[in-house]
Amino acid sequence: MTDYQRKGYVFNIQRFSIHDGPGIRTTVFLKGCPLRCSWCANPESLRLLPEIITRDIKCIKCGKCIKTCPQCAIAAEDHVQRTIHWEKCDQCLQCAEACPAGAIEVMGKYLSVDEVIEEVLRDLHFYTDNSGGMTLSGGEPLSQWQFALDLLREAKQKGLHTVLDTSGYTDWEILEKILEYTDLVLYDIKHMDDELHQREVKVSNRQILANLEKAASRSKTRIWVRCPVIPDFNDTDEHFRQMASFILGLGKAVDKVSLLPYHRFGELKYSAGGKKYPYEGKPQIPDEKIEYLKQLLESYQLVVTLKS
Amino acid sequence: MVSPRREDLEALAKPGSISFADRAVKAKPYEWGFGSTLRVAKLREGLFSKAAVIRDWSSLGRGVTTFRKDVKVDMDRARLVTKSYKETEGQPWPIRRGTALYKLCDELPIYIKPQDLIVGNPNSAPDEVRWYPEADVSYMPQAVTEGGYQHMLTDEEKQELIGDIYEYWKDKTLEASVRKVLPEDIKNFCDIGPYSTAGYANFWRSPRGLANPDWEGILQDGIAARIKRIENNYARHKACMPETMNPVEYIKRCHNYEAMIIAGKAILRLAERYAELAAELAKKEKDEKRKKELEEIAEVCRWVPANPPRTFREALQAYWLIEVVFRFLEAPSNGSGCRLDQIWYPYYKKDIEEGSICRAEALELIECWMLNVEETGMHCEAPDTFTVGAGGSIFYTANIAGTVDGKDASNDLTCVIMEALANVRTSQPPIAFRYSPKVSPDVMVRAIDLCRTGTGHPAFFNEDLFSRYSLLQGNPAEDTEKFAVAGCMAPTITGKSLNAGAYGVAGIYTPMKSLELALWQGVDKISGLKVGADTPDPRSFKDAHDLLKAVGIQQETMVRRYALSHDLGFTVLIERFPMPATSFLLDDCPDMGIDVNEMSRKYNSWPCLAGAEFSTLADSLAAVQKLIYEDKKVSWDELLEALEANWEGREELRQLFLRAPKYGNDDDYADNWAVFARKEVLAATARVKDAWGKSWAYDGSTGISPMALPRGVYATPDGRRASEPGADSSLAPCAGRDTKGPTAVLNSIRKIPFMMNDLLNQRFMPMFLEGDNRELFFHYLRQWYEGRNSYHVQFNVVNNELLKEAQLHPEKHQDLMVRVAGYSAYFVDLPTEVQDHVIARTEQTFA
Repeated sequence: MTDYQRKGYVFNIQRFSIHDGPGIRTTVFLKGCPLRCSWCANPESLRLLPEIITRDIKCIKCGKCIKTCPQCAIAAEDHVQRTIHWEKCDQCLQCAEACPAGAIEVMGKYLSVDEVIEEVLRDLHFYTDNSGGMTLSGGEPLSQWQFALDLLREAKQKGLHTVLDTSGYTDWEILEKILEYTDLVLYDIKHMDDELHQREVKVSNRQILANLEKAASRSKTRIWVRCPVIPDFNDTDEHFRQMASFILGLGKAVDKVSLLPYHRFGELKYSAGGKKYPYEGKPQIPDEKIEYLKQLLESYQLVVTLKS
Repeated sequence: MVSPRREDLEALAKPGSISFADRAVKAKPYEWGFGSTLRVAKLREGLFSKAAVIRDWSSLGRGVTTFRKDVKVDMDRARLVTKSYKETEGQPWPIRRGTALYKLCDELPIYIKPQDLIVGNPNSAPDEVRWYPEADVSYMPQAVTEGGYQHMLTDEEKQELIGDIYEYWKDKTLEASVRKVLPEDIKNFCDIGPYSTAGYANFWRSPRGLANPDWEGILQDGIAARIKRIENNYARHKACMPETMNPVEYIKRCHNYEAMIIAGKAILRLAERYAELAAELAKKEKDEKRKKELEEIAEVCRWVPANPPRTFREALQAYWLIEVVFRFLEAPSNGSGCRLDQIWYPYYKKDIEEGSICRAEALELIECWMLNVEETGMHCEAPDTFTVGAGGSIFYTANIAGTVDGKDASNDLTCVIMEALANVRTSQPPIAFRYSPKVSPDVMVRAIDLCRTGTGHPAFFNEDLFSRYSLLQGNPAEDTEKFAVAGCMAPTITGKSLNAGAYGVAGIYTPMKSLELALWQGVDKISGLKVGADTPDPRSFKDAHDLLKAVGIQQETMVRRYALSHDLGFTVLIERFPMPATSFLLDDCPDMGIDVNEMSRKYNSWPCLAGAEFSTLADSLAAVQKLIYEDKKVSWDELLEALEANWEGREELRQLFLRAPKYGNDDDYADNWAVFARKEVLAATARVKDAWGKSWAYDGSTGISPMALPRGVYATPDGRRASEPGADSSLAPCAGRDTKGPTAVLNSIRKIPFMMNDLLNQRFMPMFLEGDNRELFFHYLRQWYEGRNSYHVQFNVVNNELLKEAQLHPEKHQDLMVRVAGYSAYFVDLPTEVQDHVIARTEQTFA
């Protein structure tokens, strides 16, 4: 090996994560995603390269960003809150650098494998007896698959339990390499019907489901299937029944199925990043409905949990 | 609604049943309210909350301190004490104190509440709070005419208080006696006020004790036998005077023996009166069931505490009656520190095995007892001593779990006690859970469930650190095994006078002030007075270490002032304020004939300063080093100018300092400065010694001082504006500045050198303590313990939404409790600023 260190774009390292696999974990969120789910709660994760996000409450109205912006995309009148004309913004990030208050912040740092692992290892003593460890999430972590591979390999070398949180939308050759260093995969199934899948996710589900079958046939790989439950999309009996049969067909590799009910915590991040929320106004799914769907899956003898 | 049958109760309270966890999640644990039976629920409903309330925080010590509006001042205790002192003029102090105590036990009105099973209260009515004119009356005339107590007395009572009681005491109280001898140059540093609010030392206004008697021995012997033992000791003392003994000492000991014997008899007298009252009420009672209960109370009080208890109920009752006398009637003490699940367990075990009591009955008895503790409530005292305990009560900390002889000491009673508190949800008695990895996981899960109630109970204490600290303080090894936590978090040794005499915490001072003085060459920027040492101009510093050195010098200068007032105050206190009942109950005092106050100072206590807060200092040093010396982005001129302006018009610069590395994020840069800061401040403090040769130390028990004292501190280089609070406790990061979650906080803390009584507050979302997540919380606690240097951690498990709602509608949330700092308090009793601070503390969430 050379001293060459691969680097990648990371938009958050969340310590003390307890919903992304077993135990207390550190979740590394990699930037970039080839999917475009309408309900996405992490709009800042979609773009591969760093981008700015605004935090208006922190703005001290000093005007530095306005003076700095080469595109003249930021304006304010008479010391009121600055506004960003996003159509002019080319994400040069200079305004964030100029902002003294953190009211414009860069999402996405270019970090080396060592830098990430160093932070992950800081909580090593929290991982030991409850099988915690590192989780790679995103975005879609495999959109930076070489970086992801190096991170997982390095984590395994340090003796950490590794989890990959993926949409499965990638070439099987890549996923296969990745699974070598992955103890547990959190694998999303968004819809069994390809047409509907393409409508709300903007890509086909064929490769995703095929990869899941292949992953499940590997002897060492453990899988938790994750199902976002999205109103007016996949909260139907039909989808859940099809999915249950499919999961049963995967055999013993699947430990459990998690239902992740649609929530709107990400909504504010859209406007903060100059984006439009595609799911504006969608109501949340009632608890009774979630409970019903949970029982439906359980009737297929599947182990089902909520939210984790 | 029908009260459940005994069998149902038994099923509900069964160990290992999930119902405890289910009840912990509910706003009210039972459909009929708080308490496992209707009886307890009714008693709980009629309970008077008697926490100290501070309504006007802005002027601190001179603000309005009060109680909830239905609470009255108890005149009877004051009247009787005054009468007794008048009668004993000219007699030796121990005798006067003992005689006054006897008079109280003999004549103070007592009551038994309808349906109650446990008796004993130091106030003469359920809605009254006692006060101690013998300690201090100086604040009273103002308090009852225009201050916070004006609604708490009738006009006649006010007249009597000012005209008679105050007139008699005004130059005879402990406080007046100390004040008479204070030299002019330190007078201004004793109180909140004249120069600043950043510190004060006037513990003699409220001479608290934190005695922790050897209950196993006391209960086994009974009080009657103990009186005998002391009579024998006295006889031996008088039989022959050792040649080496100073005659003054000899006579003093005679007086102490005599006083202790009077105090022992006072305890018996009070029990006798409760027995008489119960018998009398029984005679009048029409309801057969209640009649029988009252007869039982009479029988119990006739037997204990004079004789060794025969049942669990007698043990509990004996314990409480003795506590009422020595802890609350004798002096304005607080504390406890007793290991309840150890001292009561033999009696509980025997009764359960014999089938004479069932678990549910024991639970109900403990719940009744807890309501009595809650009803004891805070007493009236000078407003500034109140300030640091805003919303607080008697800090009646009960120790549970932990180990004995290296083995798990937890038992079923440990769980019963926790369940009882989860059922009644009162602020008293707070529970100190002695954490050790040896404690059974089943018991740990109960503790986590109790946490989940959001009451701030229990606080977790690292048991292994007890011994480490005790040895550090020079206590013999065999004593360290008897370590316990009293008050909000102070160390005591069972049976010994360590901290048992008047308050171990002798002064309150925030190191934040030393930082201010170091920045301004000794000038207090709030008052404009030069009060500190001449340290160099910051512009001449080579790096932030030079600034820290100056902080150390200022710290030492300030501590010397507090030390002097402490030495004088304590000398007067030893002479004029003996505590014969407390002495009677300890191991060392009755054997030597020495009063606890003298004993504790001479032999095994050390002077402590409260108000430890190092995080503002650490963040300031890190910011100065980074921005002035490393990045060279800012000059001292700019910084001093901005501080002088209290950051006004310097928002950009303030943001730079705010965004510099901060302690609590597992960032070595800032955390290292936290280490340097603490080492320097502790070393500077230890350079000062008291009159008995002991070094001064910081004690983490802070009350709300980290929030209160900074009101008197000017702007600091961490971006803090003048008067803003810093961190809420000695180990905690500044509020809202820890952004990397609870594991990062614990990692930062691991780096900090060990100090006794270190306190960490953490806030968690309630869901983190529910269901399977409890296992992870368990693991988190284990890691807190493994860190090996954090003595105490406590949790607030309440959502911000609820707290904000309670600020808007206090009337709907009278029972909402939060952990403040070392103690739990009803949220609505706290000053708004402290409420805001609790809300501002970083809520530890998780993804």
